[in-house]
Amino acid sequence: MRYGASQSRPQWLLVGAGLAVVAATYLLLVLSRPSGLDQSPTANTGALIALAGYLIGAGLIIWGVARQFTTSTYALIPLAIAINIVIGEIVTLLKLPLYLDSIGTVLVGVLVGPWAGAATGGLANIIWGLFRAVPLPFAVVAIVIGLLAGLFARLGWFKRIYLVPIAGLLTGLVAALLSAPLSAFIFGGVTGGGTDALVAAFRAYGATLLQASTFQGLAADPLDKLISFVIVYFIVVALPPRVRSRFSQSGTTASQLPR
Amino acid sequence: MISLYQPRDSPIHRLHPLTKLTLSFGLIAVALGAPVDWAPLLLYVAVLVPLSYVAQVPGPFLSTSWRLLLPFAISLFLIQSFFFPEGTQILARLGPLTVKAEGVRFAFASTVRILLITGALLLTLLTTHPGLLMTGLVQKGFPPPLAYVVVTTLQIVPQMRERARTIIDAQRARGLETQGSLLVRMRALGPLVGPLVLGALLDVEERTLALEARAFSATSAKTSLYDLRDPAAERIARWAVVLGIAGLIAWRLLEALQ
Amino acid sequence: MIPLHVEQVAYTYPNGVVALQNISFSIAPGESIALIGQNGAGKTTLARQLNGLLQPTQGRVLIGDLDTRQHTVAKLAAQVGYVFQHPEHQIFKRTVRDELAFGPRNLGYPADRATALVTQALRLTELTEFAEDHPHDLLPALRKRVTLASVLAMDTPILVLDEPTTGQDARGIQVIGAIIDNLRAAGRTVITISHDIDFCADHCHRLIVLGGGRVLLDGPAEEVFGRPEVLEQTAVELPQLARLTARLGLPLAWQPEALLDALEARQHQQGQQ
Ligand SMILES: Nc1ncnc2c1ncn2[C@@H]1O[C@H](COP(=O)(O)OP(=O)(O)O)[C@@H](O)[C@H]1O
Ligand SMILES: [Mg+2]
Repeated sequence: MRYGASQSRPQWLLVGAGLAVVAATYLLLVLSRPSGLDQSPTANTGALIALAGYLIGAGLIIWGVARQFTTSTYALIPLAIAINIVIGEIVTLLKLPLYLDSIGTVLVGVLVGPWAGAATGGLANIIWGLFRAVPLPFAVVAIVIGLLAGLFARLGWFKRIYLVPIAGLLTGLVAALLSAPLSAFIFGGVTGGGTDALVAAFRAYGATLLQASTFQGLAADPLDKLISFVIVYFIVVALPPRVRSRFSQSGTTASQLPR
Repeated sequence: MISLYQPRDSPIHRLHPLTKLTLSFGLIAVALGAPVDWAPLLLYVAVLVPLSYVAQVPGPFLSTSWRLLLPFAISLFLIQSFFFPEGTQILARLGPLTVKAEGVRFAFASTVRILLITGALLLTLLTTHPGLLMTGLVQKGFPPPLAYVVVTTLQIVPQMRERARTIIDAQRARGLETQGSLLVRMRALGPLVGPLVLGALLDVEERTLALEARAFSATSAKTSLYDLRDPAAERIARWAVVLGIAGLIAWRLLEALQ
Repeated sequence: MIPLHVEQVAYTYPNGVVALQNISFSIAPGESIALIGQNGAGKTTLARQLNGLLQPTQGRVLIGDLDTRQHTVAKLAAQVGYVFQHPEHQIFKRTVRDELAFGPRNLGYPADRATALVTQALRLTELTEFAEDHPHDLLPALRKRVTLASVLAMDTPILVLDEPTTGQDARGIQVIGAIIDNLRAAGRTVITISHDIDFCADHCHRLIVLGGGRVLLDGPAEEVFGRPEVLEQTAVELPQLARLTARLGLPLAWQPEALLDALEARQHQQGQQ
């Protein structure tokens, strides 16, 4: 069996269905339960819908793009996911107030293309989930990060250094909005990390849980993705020409990457 | 390979990986579909903990489960007890802060929910070798290249960690400061991340060639290595659980839409 | 130029492996030391004690008067340069020149001094013509010399080289040997870890033989090569010429000139008989 050039496009039906499920879930949760709070007797309905919608959506998208890549992309993705994990650990070691755990995902998006970025993000969270369970529901968020990184690269935003932070900022914005309902409905609005103090602050001023979760995400994600995107930009700039030319053939054309 | 897997000889270890995964999600669905907010705690105590004994992994199960829960539990009780503007029933006052009954209740409901979701998945992960999990999924139509990605990642993370350690040492030996002000530590990122990512990208070529040589058959070849039985009873049980989950979600969804 | 003292150092890895026991020696400025011993003898562990990457679990290491336990690796880097075995572990800049400038910049050298040091390091390692190339576009042997150059550019009084000659062609070995000789002539201390006993014999005047985490032998080459029974335990072979002199029943020699002298002396003797 070869998964080479046999199929080089996503299965749009699956991918479209996945994106639609995610969008519908988001809208349903945000519109029908704007407070983000669930009181009895349907204690956990919001959590059930959030979990099911986001997991099914992620599954459909990953399934839809699974078989389309070249062999070298399949060889690259595990390395990129390991990069996510290990850089996350380096960041902890350096005691930086950041995650920077999607650098590999963004890199694949930029070097290979949006769908490869999406697959990398989704699989990264599945693999994280094998150890901590918690990242699993957030797979969709990681998918969207890889997807957007790839799309921005396709649009040529990685050619100019001043567009890169903007791309990162926008990606972080979407990530924050998308993860807020998960955080609010499944995890009670907290992440178990330092930024939870922000949730307390927003709640003290009367924000609903969903609002507080969203604000918390907006306080952390855009900056984090901005820095991740800039780091990826500098990595791509520093790539030896032979490495760069290999990847730029398969998706993003060389002219869309920085010189 | 890194994983949570605990090798034992137990009936749970012997279940088909997909059966375990389906049952885990089924349990999560039941816990979240039940109309009371203590349902997850009940299922954790009455189902997951006994099963962890059957699987001979109660120690790792309980310790990992609580280690994952603790940061959430702390945040939840601290934040939601004290900052719950929707609440009306005041339990206690601490200076300017008030503890509200609704907040405590919400913190409890969220905590036990996280406990059950992580616990249900943990039990599958503790009792299933990741390679076997992937083989089992591929057997049922999961795309083989994705299984390759998952298994390979688990194998290369330790190597990558080792490489990161050496890189940190090499750059510190060239005068790179990794402690100090935020700016100093931020500046250390490039010299550490750069060689790590470059090294990985340079590996891709070699790995691609190895993959092409094997024509991606690795995952299917592994199937014969493991004896993966999938009795009819398990298949039927899986379908029943899947239908149950679907029904539950549909019911709750319709209710929510009204 | 500063001395280096290793005082009763023992080191146990966090996982319980006892890698070094009761190691003591001093190295004066201008010495060129070879650290030899079979795999797992503790060479790398010992070398890492010398710039603070590892800190002794017992005893102490003094770089001049700096105790390695009281200073960060980054601080000690101004005194001890350490060339790692694998170039992939440090190269991240776009050009060889930038890669070389990384160390001097970290150490806070003024720009003109840094530039001069980089230029000099390029020249010594014969990399000047590749200065503007991407380090990863170089052949592996040259890339490895980039790592040596990047540490040379830091202008440290002490240098530690971990397996500098592996992967080098004859020319590369010559270049590295000449660098060691020059550094030594300039009063620097060089400590070379190597399996290449011929290289050590040619460029290091003192050999420290490690075995099982202890110092088995420590002395000038003549003395160490004169103890084949100890070397045998550690799977360290004598240099090729030394083995030849042994087979010929000549007095120990490992340099071509010395061998020729010995041969001539024997002929002379035989002529007299
Ligand atoms: N990071 C480590 N953790 C535990 N043990 C180690 C580590 N590095 C080396 N060792 C052990 O310490 C001993 C000495 O190793 P090392 O200094 O690398 O020897 P050499 O460089 O002479 O080959 C060996 O037994 C080795 O297995
Ligand atoms: Mg060694």
